[in-house]
Amino acid sequence: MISRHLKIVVISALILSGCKGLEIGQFDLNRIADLGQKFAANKEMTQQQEEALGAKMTAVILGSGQLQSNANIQKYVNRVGYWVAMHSERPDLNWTFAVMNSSDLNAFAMPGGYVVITSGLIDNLHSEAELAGVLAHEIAHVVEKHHLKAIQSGNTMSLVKDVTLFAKDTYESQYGRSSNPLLDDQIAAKLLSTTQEIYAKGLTKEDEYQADQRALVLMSRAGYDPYGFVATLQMLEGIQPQDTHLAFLFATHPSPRNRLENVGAILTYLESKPLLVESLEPRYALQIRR
Amino acid sequence: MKPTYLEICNKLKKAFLIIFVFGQSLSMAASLDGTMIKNTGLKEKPQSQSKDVGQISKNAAISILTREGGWYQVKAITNLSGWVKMLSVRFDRKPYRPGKLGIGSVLSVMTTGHSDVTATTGVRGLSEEDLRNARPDFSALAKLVAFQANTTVATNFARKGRLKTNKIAYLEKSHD
Repeated sequence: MISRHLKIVVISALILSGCKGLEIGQFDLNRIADLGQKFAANKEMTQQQEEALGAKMTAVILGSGQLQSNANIQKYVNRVGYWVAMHSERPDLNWTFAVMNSSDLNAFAMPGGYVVITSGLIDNLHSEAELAGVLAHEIAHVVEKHHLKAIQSGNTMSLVKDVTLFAKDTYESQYGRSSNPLLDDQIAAKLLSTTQEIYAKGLTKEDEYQADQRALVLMSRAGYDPYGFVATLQMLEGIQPQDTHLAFLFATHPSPRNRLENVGAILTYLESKPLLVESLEPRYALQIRR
Repeated sequence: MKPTYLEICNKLKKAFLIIFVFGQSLSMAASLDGTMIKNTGLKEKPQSQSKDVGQISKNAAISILTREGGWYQVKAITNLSGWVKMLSVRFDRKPYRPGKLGIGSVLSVMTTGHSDVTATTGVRGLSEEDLRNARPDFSALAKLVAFQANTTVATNFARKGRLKTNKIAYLEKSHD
């Protein structure tokens, strides 16, 4: 009994003297476990952590193409997006919108209030209300924290581990870089692979349907014609689904037909309200110099 | 009685003539084709309480002429035209043509010239493959700050567009 006790003490002492804070390999397990537990316990990141995480994920998305160089278009999209976001439940996020050059039709939302839309999609919209609808869909993903939930409820072990690393990484970012460059590299690599995995896989159909419904309410609150979003979904339905410009969007979203069927009830609901709404086709045409 | 070859030819000619005449009279670059997804009345005006000018049945082919709110003005192959709800129409699938998609391409008043964005047509990027090969671009991220809006900027912008805030609650569980 005594010898067993002694063994534990000796082993513990050896471990503690051998490595500061239970470092094994490159990882500070104490701190990672601690942060991981905190993160798992309240299932909530602070807004600051979410924004830091979202910024890093956005950098990955930005790394998969080029920013549109026209500053006026970038500012215009930011104004429309910010105005819609002001009518959401999270108006105080660091809302940032970006247009990227791509002939693909797509848009992405990242935690913390980051939204990316392709120039190909902008080019096929015809009014500010249509743009507001697409941005409102992405804003709804952020407000509902759909991507954070996807990370947290990820059913693969790699995703669960990544969450812990995210938490650590965002923790570190508040206190400067960690003293371990190799650890930084490992975290960066995990962050990259997780971002790639989540955006290549897409969200659940339920999240997409909810974002569509929320988008119609958000854009209506901001004074935009909700049927602008219906027009966009019908535009997408009018393209041959095997087209490469839509391949990624269609792989990660329900079909436009199913999405249109999903918004019927919410449109009836909105019609019962005395809404004052605009489409603003001329301003859209002017701003993107169609 | 089976129609003769000549009768079929005459019918085809008529059909082409109708399409040609409409095409001219509407002076549109393109009309959009669709199909009705349910039987519905063709309304005289884009309003639910408006009277029916006729009926149109499920699977009927239509041309979409214009949009007003949640309504499309459509013309049936029978030459009858009227208003139907947007959601009662399915767009026919066509090959991808940048800037020529959706009802807006027909309605757009300013179709001359190209947008700055159009210049990017053909540029790849943001595909699944691009994402899988991506490396984080922190310099691009830093550039975004210069484009950001804020409450004051966005409010002024909305005022210029005469956008009014509407108070609406979410409709919970509407898709269940």
